Amino acid sequence: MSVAITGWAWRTGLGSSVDEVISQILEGKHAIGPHRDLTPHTYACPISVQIKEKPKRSRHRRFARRMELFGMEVAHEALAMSGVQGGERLGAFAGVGGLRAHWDEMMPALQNQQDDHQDMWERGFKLFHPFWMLKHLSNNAHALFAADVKAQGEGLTFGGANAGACALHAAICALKTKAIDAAVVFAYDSLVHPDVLVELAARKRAVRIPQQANVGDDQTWKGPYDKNSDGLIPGEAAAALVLERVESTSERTLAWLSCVDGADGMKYEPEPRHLSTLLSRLLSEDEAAADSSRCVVDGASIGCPLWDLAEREILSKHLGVESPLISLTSSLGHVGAAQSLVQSIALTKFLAHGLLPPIIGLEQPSDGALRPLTAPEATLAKRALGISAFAPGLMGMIQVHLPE
Amino acid sequence: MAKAVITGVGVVSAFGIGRERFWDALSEGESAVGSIKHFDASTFPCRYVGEVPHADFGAELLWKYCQSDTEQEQSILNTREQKQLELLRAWESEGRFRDRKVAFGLLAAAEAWSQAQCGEEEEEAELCLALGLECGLLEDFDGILGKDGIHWEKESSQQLPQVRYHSKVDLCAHSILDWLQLKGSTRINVSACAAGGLAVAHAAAMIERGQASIVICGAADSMVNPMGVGGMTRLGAPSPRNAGDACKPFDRKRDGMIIGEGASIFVMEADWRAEKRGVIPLASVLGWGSTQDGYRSTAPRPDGRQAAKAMKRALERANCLPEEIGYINAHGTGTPLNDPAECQAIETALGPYARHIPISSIKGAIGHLMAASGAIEVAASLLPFVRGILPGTAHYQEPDPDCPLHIIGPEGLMAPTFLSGGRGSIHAMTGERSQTTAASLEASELEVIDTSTETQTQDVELQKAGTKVLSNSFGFGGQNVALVLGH
Repeated sequence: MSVAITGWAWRTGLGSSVDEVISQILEGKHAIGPHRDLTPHTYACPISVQIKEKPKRSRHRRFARRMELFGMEVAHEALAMSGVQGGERLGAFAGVGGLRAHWDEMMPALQNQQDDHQDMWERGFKLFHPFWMLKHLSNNAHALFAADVKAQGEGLTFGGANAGACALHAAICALKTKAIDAAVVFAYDSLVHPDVLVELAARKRAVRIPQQANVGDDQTWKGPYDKNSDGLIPGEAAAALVLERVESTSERTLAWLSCVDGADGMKYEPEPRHLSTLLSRLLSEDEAAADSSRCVVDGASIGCPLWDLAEREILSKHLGVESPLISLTSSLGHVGAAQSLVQSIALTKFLAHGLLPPIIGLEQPSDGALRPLTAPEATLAKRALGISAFAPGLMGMIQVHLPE
Repeated sequence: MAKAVITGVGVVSAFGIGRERFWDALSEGESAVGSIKHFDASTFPCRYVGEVPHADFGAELLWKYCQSDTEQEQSILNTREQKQLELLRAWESEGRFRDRKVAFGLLAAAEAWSQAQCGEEEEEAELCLALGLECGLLEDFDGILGKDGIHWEKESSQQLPQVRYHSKVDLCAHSILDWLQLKGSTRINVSACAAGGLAVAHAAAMIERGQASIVICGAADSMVNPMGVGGMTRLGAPSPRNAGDACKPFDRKRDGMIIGEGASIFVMEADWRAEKRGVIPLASVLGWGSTQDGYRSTAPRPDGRQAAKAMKRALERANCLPEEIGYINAHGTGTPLNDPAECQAIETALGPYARHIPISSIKGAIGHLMAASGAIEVAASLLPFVRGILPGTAHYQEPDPDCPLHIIGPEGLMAPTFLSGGRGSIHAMTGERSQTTAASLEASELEVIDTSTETQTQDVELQKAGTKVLSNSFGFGGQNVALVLGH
């Protein structure tokens, strides 16, 4: 079932204005560079995409961290854009990639601990900030936002790599059953944290750059769907959508959206057979999706050759072998739980512009179905599919249509 | 439209491992709150919790409990069992079970799966899990922690466990996926204290909508670790009293919650599927309701208005009248603010019938399981259907005028008619009517008929009551969920 997008907003490594970011992506620009707040050479993957601006001044800054503040900002902006008011018929759904541990801010509690793990309270745990636990709660941003706008309808907070897709799907279901009349869905995630970077490197999921290489040099890494691609580039983003039932919105509709979510495999590797399952579900739930003509695909872009090949093969069976393949991730980095929402916004804008961006860092496209774009390309397509998949294997899939 | 029925349940709680142990303890009015044992909490101001009585979880312990009864009789493992045992050993060696809720979730999921007689055909099940915060342990930083910070550059040269930081919010979910070899979608709900109830509600909705015919749902959480206990202590949420009765829901002298840990996982399926498989449901999820307060992130609405709406929506979905509710399993945290707000919400939702319905909270007995509380309280809400007993409220002694509802005392109540699903009566369990039950009965305005017998048990036949159960969970930030269970 499709719903209407009537408001949106984001924070990305290329900026906050939707139109300006889209222009930059279409021009082939990217935001990839050495880690700003971390020591790059400490990590096997020393590059990432980070949001440059700081969160706006907020009365919640004592209780919420940077990405949570961005999440709330974009939720407010999207709601303002839509014109929807708070109340009992407004639902709020959030997707949180995972509570990055922020170990460094816990140093007052940790630095005097001993290996015997005794007297932990006296040795520092008593120095925890009283609000540390509030900041640590998974639904903190959701709670603060819902109170701000008096969102009193249904609401859920999801966690994990596909949390944004889960939140979208739950909102769509609540709208479909008329439990609510409008939904704010926001998601935020940052993979640019020490423990995440360490784990990505340990599992060989992030691009690897030799220590002696110049991390500022674009030639040191390859983009997704390249023959020599060896992983993803971690990024961060916050994004929000306002969703309403199609029949309620008419001229306020920016795009029609449908979404499915799910697990894509076992252990830590994504499995393409589940991509096939999700695609079948999406096609069966959305009548318009059955029309396979002229569909653009934003791939998962995880830089894993076996996955890439299978992903393209599966998608081509439904969409045609010559369907254009793009990669938002190549410009913005992999943004984890926020991926599905970022894709919803960007794909709509590309279709509206009638122009598709090139895949950054793609020099020698790997063999396979679909057409990974190495240059900007005009398009008449009115439909686009976005895949998000991330270790350890949670997946989401969105589809946007431009209104007639 | 399919009806969602529960065909299997697994529980890990402070009472121990297993649903029967859980139900036995609730039936006997036991309390499992005690001092922390599995790490040195001697200097922590709040040292009393509802702790699962195992210090460590390893492959052999998990294997012992995760096998079905029939499998335990086999002396030779089949191929699947061999793989499962190897999986447990691999996970143990990589450090996965140091996050206790991973072990809890696995144990509960395995128990539910076994009870529901699930097999290869059920592997298509979806997973709808609520989980608590990521867990971080000091041991994760051995060798890289310095006074000036964490030396990430040293980590590759240290012999550290493969799974470290435990900062994956979905580690438990993936463990269950792998263990049961589930092929369906996975959703992880992190809506704090409402998460468990929301996960169950979400699963029921998926089945009613036809999105799935079988869902493994529930929750696991553990904040009984230094960071969890330390953080909550600094927040001021737990009771300052280090005593077994530190948490006293609805009691006039309540002064805070007690942290707990555990898991409760259910096999929920469409009624037609259960019938086809020949599995008898324990109960049905007849309805559910979800709202948000939109008030404050750190306190519930004092008037309980949105919580009441969640209950009303649950009743509407269940096509259930207030007088059909025979028991309410309350959120009942034992904090000064929550309990009267919840009572207000119940009166708003159920009107004049509110004072007729027996209510209890199990948090005094096992602690507040945070993300898992809603799920384990659904398991407790099954007690009337499986044993004809309404669980009591541990440590409830002095009624509070601000909580003027019929709060069941620690001893619980017999309610055999829940077993048959028909309307009937509720009987006090004890030989002597306890002071609290007497006072509560008077306050409840119920018609009381004494039927003294020569036996030690003095039955008190109360006004005929409904045989459906309402289970409430109200989460941090004002997320509310209510579920109606019945036959």
